[in-house]
Amino acid sequence: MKSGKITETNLLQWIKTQQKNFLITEKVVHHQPDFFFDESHEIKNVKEALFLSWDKLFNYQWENQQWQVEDIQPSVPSRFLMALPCEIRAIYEVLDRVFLQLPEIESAYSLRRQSLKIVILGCINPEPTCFCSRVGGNPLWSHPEALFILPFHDGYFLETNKPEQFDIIEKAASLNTTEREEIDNLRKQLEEKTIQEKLSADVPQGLYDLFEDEEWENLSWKCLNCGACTYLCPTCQCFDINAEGRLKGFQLKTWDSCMFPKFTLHASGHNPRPTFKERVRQRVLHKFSYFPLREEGHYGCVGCGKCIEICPVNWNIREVVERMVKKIDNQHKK
Amino acid sequence: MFESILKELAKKLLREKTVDLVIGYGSSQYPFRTEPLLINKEEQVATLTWNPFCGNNLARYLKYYKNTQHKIALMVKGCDSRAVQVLLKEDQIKRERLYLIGLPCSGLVNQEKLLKQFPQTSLEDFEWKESGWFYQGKKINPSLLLEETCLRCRHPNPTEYDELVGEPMTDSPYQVYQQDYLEPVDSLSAEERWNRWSKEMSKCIRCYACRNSCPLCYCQECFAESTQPQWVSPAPIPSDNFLFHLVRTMHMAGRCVECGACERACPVSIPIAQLPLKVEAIIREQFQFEAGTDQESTAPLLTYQENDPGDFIK
Amino acid sequence: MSKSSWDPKIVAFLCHWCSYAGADLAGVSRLQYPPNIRVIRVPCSGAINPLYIFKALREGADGVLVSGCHPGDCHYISGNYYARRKFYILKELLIWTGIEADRIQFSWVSASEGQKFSEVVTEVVNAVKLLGPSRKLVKEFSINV
Repeated sequence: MKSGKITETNLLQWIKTQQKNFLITEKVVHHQPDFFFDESHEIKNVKEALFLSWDKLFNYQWENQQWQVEDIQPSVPSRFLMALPCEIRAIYEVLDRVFLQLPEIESAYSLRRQSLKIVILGCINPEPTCFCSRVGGNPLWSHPEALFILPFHDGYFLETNKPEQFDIIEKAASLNTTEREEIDNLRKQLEEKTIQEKLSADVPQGLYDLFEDEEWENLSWKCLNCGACTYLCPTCQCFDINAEGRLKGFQLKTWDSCMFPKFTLHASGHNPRPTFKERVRQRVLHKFSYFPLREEGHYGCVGCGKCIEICPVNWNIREVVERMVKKIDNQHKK
Repeated sequence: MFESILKELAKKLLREKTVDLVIGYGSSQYPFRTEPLLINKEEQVATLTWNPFCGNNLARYLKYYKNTQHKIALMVKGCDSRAVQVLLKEDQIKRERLYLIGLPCSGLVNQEKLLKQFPQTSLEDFEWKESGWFYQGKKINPSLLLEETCLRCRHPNPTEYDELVGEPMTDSPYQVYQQDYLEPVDSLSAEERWNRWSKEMSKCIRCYACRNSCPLCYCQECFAESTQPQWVSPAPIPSDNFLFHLVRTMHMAGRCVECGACERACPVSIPIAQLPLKVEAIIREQFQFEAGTDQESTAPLLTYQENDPGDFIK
Repeated sequence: MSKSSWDPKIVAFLCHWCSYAGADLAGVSRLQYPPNIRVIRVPCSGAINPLYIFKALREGADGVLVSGCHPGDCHYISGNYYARRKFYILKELLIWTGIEADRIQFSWVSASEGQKFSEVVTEVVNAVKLLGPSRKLVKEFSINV
């Protein structure tokens, strides 16, 4: 693991030379407007780098009395993605678990994933809508394969286990003992905070057991059933597949949202999630119950708060979960 | 100050069983955000609120009760009451089932403008008096503070209500801003207009927040989700984004009440209300019709005149 | 693709009772007009949903012509009156969003106006030729970030 500190000028210089290949999320631009240069790309959602809002799977054509199918190789330019720890956690903890467990199925994702170089900007200004430590993250979460950047004294602290991908680390000056201790203490503090604040281990099963609770109706009434939360959520991964073109065309994969009424419409006409109640309940349970139950306690939500920020009716997933957790606690007390 | 009146009123309506439920605005844990609030028990009125951040058009929730027996009390601003009138006209709900609590409105504050122009401030620094907005005692230009659609408001007072809570406003408090909302686009050439709209439409992610927050989009199946035939694909490609919004605007022609809920709902900040507002301006000019202002006049697309404009037809 | 080798494709929605009959008359009378239109027969111009026009443009039509009976002569009495209002609003909206005004055109052509029909089509095709191939609302699944 290589680490060190660097001046702001040098860091900005590095980003500037790479600007064409830099994908920067909106949250980063909000925290550090200087990191964004004219030719960088601002994206609202980390998913856009890996799991595109629409994608072609393969081309097909009816020719000589049979279907000719032609695979499409996705273009995978080698790029940098800079985002906050919560957003990057969504990639490592959720999207990778979904799309890389069976590599044959989502080859486009795995190709793009391999050519993506991840830069994590430590978060020092959480928003009132953030709650990453509740779901197992922390504002300085990092991954050894990524480049971790943190505003430190009058420059930045850098750390990575892949110096060959991030040549900027060579320009970093080493830290002295006090500085190193400072970073270590800060990290330890936040890790402890997470251990204290993380939702308790019985929450996934507890929520599952509250499936028939009448509270869901009250909690979901105001939801408009648009797809804004799901489309801006870094962990939401539902998609739809359509054939675009009759005798000649391509198979189209697009984002889909469990909030849309037709999401679970069966060909028979039956819809197991006919009203807002079932759909909102599904969204909460998928992230806080089904996913952790299946994935050894890892939540399907990273606490970035994006959904709360943009929801037109201020539907707040954190509030909903806290309310249901209170119910679980009350039940345990009985 | 009106909050306590509203809370008492809500409790009374429920207690006396005048209504089965009350739909109003509730405060949230965030300073500048309110949310739609459903009240069916008296103790739930605790978070009821009324302030310049009450941006949702609550008439949107009436579609849940079209076929039920509930009697509903609804808090409506000027624009919202017009939406209710359009719904009544289109037979989506019966008037006897509604108890409309009218709230004269001096305009909604745009959160982005607030944080940009007046950082480190709280709502107490602002005051509406003598038909003007005052910040810390000094009169300010409302365009620094208010939502764009509110600056063009022509009906700050509810057009239909059972009870009014608050001081009625003098009509059209922002008369001076009427023309210039659409003027920036009006003054561009065709190519420039296209570039501007193209850029906005490329941001669209087709979340349908605009459509779902609109009280007048109540179709069981929207044309955008139709697969047989398919008019637009689910992919957010520029052509389909544009088509979705153009067709939705055509569907709203003569029905839009210019509340701006669509623009406030948009998560990627597209000034989407400009499209139906332009169409409503055209309809006002040519056909002298305004949606939701009275129950007598026929909707513009359901009637015709011999001398309708037809020069563009060969 | 050079501009000179491009020939516009125009989708024409013609009302069955007047315009379609007028087009038929033009054919029977051997009147010459550009062959660039593809005709879709509808019962009445009032039945034309803006969605049809947009779908045509989306699928690559370079222009759309909508034609119906003269006001007062509609087989269904008032269909074309409603159409006139609808098309007025549609046209203003399209101009305001920057889509070329000449791409979507309207006409009243009666069953006996074979000559007028051929003239209208010639005018429309010439106008669209000047505008070039349609790109603005054409569906295009081109490369994504």
